[in-house]
Amino acid sequence: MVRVHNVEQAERASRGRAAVMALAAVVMMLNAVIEFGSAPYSVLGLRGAVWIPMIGAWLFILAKGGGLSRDRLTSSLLNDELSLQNRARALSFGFYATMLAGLLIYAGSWYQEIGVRDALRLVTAVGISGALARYAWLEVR
Amino acid sequence: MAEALANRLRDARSALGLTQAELAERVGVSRKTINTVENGVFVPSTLLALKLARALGCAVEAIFSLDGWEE
Repeated sequence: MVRVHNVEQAERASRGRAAVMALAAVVMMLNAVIEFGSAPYSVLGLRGAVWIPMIGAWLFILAKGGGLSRDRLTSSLLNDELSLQNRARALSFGFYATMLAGLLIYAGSWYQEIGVRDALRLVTAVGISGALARYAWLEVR
Repeated sequence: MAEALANRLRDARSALGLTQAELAERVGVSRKTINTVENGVFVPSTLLALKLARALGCAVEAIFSLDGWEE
């Protein structure tokens, strides 16, 4: 049975989750923009390869909502009806952001050569950052 | 005419002297969910609306109604 203690704990965790997601969105977007065309990401190496598990991890967190280390009751409060709806809206926003980024890069490539890895990094960064930022905003409003 | 869900959740909760956290505990949702329903930001599912009504000991129609609904 849910207790007030669980409700308060879930509230704190929810705010923390939103803050971490907003921060991650900013860091990932900045990283993708600042490191655009940077050599470490253009050749096979650890720095470039880390991008794959990082995006994968954030996708997993977006799909599951986080809070997996919490007890079952707090975790269920963290992923209640409102949070599920917010996540669905955030994922929808991320999808449109991804499409828009893809179209802009496609059009931009007519004017400036853009490497495949740079383009894909930018598309994934925009998509995941958009979804994370939108989720964080919906959770704290 | 545009329809919107009107709710008297805040009034019903206050009448019983419950805080948002206490109502959230009874229903099994986060306090934020109660807050957003009260402010009209979040439209709850039928299931949650029924749970809220049961927790407050009233009919669901006593809490939720359609604004702008013409009979």
